[in-house]
Amino acid sequence: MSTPATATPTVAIVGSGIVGTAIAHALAARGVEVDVFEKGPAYPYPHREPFRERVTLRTPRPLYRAPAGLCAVSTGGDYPASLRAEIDCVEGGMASRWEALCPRQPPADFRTRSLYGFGADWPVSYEELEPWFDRAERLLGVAGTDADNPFAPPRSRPYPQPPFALAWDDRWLAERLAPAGLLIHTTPQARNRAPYDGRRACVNYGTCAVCPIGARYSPQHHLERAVATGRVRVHTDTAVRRVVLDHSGRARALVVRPARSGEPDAGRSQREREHPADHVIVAAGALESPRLLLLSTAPGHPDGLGNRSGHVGRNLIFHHLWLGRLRFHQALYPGRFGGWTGQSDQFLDPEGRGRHGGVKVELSSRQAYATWEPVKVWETPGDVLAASATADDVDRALAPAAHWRPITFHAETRPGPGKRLELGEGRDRFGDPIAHVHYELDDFDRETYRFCRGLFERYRDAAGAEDALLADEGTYYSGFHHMGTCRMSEREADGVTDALGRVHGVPGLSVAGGALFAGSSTVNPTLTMVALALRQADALAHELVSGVPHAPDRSSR
Amino acid sequence: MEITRRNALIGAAAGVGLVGLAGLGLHERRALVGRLRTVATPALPAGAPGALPEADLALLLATADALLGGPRDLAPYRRMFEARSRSLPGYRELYRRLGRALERRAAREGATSFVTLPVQRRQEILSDLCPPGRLARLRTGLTDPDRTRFRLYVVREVLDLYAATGAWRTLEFGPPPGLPRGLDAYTRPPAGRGSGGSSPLTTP
Repeated sequence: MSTPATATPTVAIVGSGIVGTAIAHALAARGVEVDVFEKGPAYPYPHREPFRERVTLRTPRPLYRAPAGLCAVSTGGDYPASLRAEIDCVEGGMASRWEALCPRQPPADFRTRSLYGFGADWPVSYEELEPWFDRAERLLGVAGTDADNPFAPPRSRPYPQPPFALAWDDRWLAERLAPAGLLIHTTPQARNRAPYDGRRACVNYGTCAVCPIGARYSPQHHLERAVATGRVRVHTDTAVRRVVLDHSGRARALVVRPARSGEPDAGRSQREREHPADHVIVAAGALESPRLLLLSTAPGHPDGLGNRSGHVGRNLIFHHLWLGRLRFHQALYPGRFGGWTGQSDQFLDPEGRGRHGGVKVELSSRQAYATWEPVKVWETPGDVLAASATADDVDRALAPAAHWRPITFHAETRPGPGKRLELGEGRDRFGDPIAHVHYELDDFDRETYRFCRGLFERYRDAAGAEDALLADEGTYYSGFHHMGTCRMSEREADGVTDALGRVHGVPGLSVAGGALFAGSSTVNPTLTMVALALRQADALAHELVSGVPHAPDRSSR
Repeated sequence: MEITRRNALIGAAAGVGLVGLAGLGLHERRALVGRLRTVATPALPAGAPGALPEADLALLLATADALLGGPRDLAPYRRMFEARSRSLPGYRELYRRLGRALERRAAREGATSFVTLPVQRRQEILSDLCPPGRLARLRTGLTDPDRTRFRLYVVREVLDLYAATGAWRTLEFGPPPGLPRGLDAYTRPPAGRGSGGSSPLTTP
């Protein structure tokens, strides 16, 4: 780091999601000036107005969507769901509407190459990250306990909030599964069990995507606090098109453009401009972050920034979620809590891992007729309504929902040549190539599916289900978990950034978020993303304020 | 299912369609499926948002009342109709067209207005005007797209709102999402259900 610590250091962050927000908040607390760029629109918080529109009036207006042609991605291979539906360009990003599950990534996930011969070892260990997991849990206010989960990773401090109880139907199911050695435990989640950090306690509105009281964590909570310091500015409706380097090869600015430029009522300067910064952080998700690096060519970087070893966009991994459900004679009335109740970490690190992936079994009390399904597995509410003439028909069609409980297999995968992101043929509204994802299952994934099917039969038989359905192998989706496209590595030859997210070969430029994931991952990734982000922010603040690098860059070894 | 002349014709047409579809190339098949989807899902008509006239609102509430099959709290439905008319382009115009179509049908029956008809007659009119089912949607989409629009943007939306609210209580799940239900009730069986058992409307 060569920037002298004479002037107030400045940082530009691309993306206002949970990762960009965590970094902005942490940097502002250390006296750094931060500009956050978000191509989507502002989104009110707490989400009272979206709640009123979507729940009370059933009339969602298109106010909270990015303009057409700005959030686009094309898909090839055999991925059956819509990736476009899995990205959300809005202030706060995906986490403004997320489920808020916050498990810690288990220690073995950081070392799958050493332990099981697949994926890549991360350049950071669970032990190194543990204090940052703790900070991330405190930042988000995670409610949970390990008392009922013997598979939980070690922790230095208890969760900051007590857990949400299992549902009545969870306990009913747990009693039947226990004799077969199958466990259900509570789920850690960024949802307030009690008032926390100025946010209200959950009262179970059950419309968590638009929580009207802010009980479910949303990044806007900390974004607003960061702005209140006077050191952070959020530029919504502003697209970032390129990262610009100076003559020495150091990142010096972003090329930004009003997202609605060209529209008659844009109401802002239509001009594209450069926004200078001492440091640039790309935190735009694992699909948009690599795209921006690929678009940002420069002398010495003809294939995009950080891409001298060709790793930008490679190593893409999703989680693979196979939906299933079990029908019981007894009416269980699942889904009466909007948050998350039961799940099982029992098979995160199973015998046979390496031939196939680890699996989280999701057994939350939810209705089998979800309001939205990413892939078509069975009859949906849309099917029910299409065939109904009156409310009586709706009642008859939905009545079986009392007897069905969903069971979802949330599976690990490994990177491979059939999973990658590159610049596509399509163009966004400014003429820039959109991201193209090619994604196909490999033998490892098919073996993981067979493992899941075996588990499914165990759960079905142990619980005494009368009927059971499981999606077929090719009918899965990512759970909105996109990872690995700018992976961390000790050596430039193996990845895009070092262990602190600093892009190899481009001083002044970092990547943050799920794009950094180095190898595989069995659990929901957000808490790990935030832990990595807080660690990055701490190191960067140290560098920017003191002018001295925080820690040796292991990539130089 | 009763084998009527109409069902036989629909079946024959579907059979011919499937054979024809099998003979097409992938590109043509995709184009045809896309076209059929457009026919079965027509966009809302053009029209600026605006306040909903009282007469149209009364007809919409009579529609909702018929679809719900009896006395219910119509306030949530009123809120939805008014908000959509006021905020989203096309709804006010569609509601106006639905009102005219319903009044024409009521007049044919000698009634002064659709709203004065008994629930069952209103249900029959709605079922005939905008019948349920995807095939029916396609059929009306080809012959009179407004009838498909009535089905999609009025009937479906009323039933959708019911499924998300009233059905929760009818099916004994308790209060629906959107209300603060507390953190205790979900840890117990629904009120009155004791330790569970078969639900009243199901024959497993």
